Amino acid sequence: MGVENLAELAKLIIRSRIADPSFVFSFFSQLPDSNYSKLKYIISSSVTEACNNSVLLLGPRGCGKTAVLELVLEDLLKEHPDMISVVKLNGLLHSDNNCALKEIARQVCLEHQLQFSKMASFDENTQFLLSILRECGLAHKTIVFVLEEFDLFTEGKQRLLYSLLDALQSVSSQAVVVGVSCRLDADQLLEKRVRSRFSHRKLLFLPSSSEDFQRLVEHILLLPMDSRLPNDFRAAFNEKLLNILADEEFKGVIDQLCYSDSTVSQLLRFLFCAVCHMDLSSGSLSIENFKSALPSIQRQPKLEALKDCSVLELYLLVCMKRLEVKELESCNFNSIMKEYKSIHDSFKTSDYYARNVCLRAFEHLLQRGLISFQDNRGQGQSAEFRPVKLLISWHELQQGLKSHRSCPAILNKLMDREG
Amino acid sequence: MAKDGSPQVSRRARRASLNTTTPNSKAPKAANISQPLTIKDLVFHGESISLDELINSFPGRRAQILELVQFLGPLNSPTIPLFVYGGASTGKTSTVLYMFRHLKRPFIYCSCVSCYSPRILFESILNQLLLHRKNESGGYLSAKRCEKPSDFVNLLREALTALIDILKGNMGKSSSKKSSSQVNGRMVYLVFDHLELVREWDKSDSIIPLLFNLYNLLKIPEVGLIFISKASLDTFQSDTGFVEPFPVYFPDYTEDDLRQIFMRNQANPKLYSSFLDLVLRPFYRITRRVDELSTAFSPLFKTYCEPLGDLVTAPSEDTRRKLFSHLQPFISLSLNETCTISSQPLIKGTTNKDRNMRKSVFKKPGVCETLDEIDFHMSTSAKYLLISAFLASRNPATLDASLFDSTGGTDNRKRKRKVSEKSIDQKEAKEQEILMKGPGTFPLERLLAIYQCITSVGDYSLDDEELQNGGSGADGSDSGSMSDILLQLSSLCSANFITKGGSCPLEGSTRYRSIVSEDVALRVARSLKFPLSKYLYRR
Repeated sequence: MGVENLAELAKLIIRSRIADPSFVFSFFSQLPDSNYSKLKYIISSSVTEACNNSVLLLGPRGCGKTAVLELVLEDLLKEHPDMISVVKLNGLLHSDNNCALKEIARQVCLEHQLQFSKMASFDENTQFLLSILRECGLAHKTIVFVLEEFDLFTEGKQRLLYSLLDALQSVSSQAVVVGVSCRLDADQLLEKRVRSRFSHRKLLFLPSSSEDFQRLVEHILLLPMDSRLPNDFRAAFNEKLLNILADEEFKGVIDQLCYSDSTVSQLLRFLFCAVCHMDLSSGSLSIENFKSALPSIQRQPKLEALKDCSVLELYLLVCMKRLEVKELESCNFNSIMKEYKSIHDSFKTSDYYARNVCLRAFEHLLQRGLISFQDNRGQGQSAEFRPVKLLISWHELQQGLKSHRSCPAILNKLMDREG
Repeated sequence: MAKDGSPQVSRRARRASLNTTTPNSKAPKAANISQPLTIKDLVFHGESISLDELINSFPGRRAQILELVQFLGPLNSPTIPLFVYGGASTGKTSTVLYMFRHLKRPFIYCSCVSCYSPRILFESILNQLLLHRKNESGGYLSAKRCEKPSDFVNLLREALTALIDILKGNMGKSSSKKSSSQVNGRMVYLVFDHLELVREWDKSDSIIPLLFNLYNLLKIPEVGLIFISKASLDTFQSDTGFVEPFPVYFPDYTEDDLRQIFMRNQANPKLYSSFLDLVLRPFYRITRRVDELSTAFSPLFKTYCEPLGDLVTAPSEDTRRKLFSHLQPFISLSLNETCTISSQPLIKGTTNKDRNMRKSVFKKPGVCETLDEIDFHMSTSAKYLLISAFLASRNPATLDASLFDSTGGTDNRKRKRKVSEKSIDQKEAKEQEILMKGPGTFPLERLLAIYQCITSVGDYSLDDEELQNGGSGADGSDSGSMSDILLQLSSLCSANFITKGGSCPLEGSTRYRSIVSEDVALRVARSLKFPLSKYLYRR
């Protein structure tokens, strides 16, 4: 096979690894004293000792809470088959009580090959849940309830949480409730009666350190022993990769990536972008791939929008900025037009256009997200009278004007004078 | 998808007719209604195109096309969700759709413009995945009724697994089919278009994180998600955030790109190129959107070609100069216009009008010319109602008594006052206030009162016409069918001349606000021969 085909195969392998969270986070399971081992201990102890438990997994988005939980459950299902059944709920979908109970009933029915009736009422579903808990308790089978987006379940009356946690209090049931949330204060959102039934066990998932990141990158990118890849190609690829990873430049790129967002999912997106741009003819990754992936993922949308503005739109923005500097309370399209006219009168610019053309440019600015209306209430007013505000700062506007391809010099002068 | 997919596609092809080569797929054949849909309908219809053809179809989009193709990657390779964003009319949707023509992979397209509520969005996606066509025998119902997000995710998972099984089975078969009906791979791509409109939905707090988290919720590696939006990702607000897709940016076209786009499919390239030399630069300063430029250029090009005898030969140097001097005044006029739609005159015989229009064209540039005629048609009572609404919004309520008293009162107003510093400042402040606050609101009773006053005044001045028309004009105010006036009022409201404001809780009645500009009101008054300026309150 030619180099290109091999490189494409390598690309395919790495891409599927990146898109597979269980592979990525299996790295964390190998670390000692990690959240993986702690969580596994909690759940397995409640399975073997037949007791009830509840735990919260907290941490920013993309740190692997759900992925680690999936790994733990997978391993436990292998170790203790037939002793665990899992019910998964998500706050985005099932925050309504009726939906949640229906979903619980559906999943339980699916697992135990019972017939699920869509028309069952709320009471019937509650009865079903209680009886299932009792039955499973008698059969020494633990039900694990996974509640993702836990903070969304705490809106409203928290009836579902109360009934679940209350069911845990009875002796006959054997259940574990695992809550996953990105809000670090998720347990503060619980009502008093719910919080008292909750064991205050929390596992904190924090973004990893940079050494761990380095090892994670190696774990993902180094090609494994695969029958489709010849050994010499694999060895050459891995060696080149290790050279890049040891390079100072690469460490700088990773550091810069972690300044803004140091979660694993950001790293995965970055690696995906770099791998997609791998040059097939050279047959391996290069430092250029990583360096070009960084600005693709760290975007500056307001600056991009400013660079795309036409000259008339830049005029309107500068007029708004000048009005802001003059400390008028609020400006609307009419006052901007007045300022525009005064600029034209004093500087005799060539860019003086009629009102409806300026209104169209004004609407373009609204669409681009550079300005917005100050309140949503004034729906009755036409666009010319509603107060607007700038969504970019003076510094951003100046940067945008400087990097603009055809910005007229008069605008730079006006900005500098007011600054 | 023959019904849903290809009319959308041909619409895109029409809209992007300036961007693409002459489409070699013919107009979609009218699909047999009773024929069930197959997976072949999930693929872009027509001949497959190569990557070079794709890049040539979209001038200036080479980098973005290559990036997208690399992200989607080789066949059957999982991909992270993508977020394509950029300004309006930058070719995002057409590029993504034509890329699927090149790749010939099955995809589902839904736009948040036509699917304007969550239920319609969910059902549209499920219909396409389940290869269900709404037809008469089924009562035009969707395949599954789906309102809640929980039902949607469950049904979506089922539909996707079923579809992927079909695709896997299809892959096993021999691939000796014609290229136009080939279905590549076992991955399905979901394309969500116009995502920025979802922000304005009622349930946007839950729908936006749901859509962005869909990839994690489904946990099916054979699904690819592509989101297309005009707004960038930071404008999607969410309390607790969401999983971020990978951003791909489509910048606006540069001047050279625009030139390439407009030069496509031109019958006489040299002629059009010399035309573009004249118009592209000035118009580029105002707007960079292809749709707005093309609506401005097409009438200008017609004017440009007017003096030419034949449109086939390339113009020589002095022909070009001649054409330039002919076009020059029209350019500056057109620069100050946005899209103009001329309305048809009801009464023929408008030679007078044409002459008037010709004269008014050559005014000084930079000023939008207002014609004396209004270019819409309204009944007389509606015109009076419009004027009274305008007066009610402009004048403060306390002046009504003096303005509309029996003498047709204009004398009381012109009180001579000493012009002092303070009053000038006050005047400026009041002007600023009008500029900022806009037209005021008024209750219905005040509007009707002013209307009665004006029409009675109008009666006196319309005496001659009244005799001619047999008093038909004045009947409306006298015989006072109140419902007629209220009907007129509601049609003015729906035509956006008057808006219905919120009601004041103390007074309890709804308030209205007139939003016509002063020159429209003046024109309407002029058509009625009504002395509007006498009644306007000038501070």
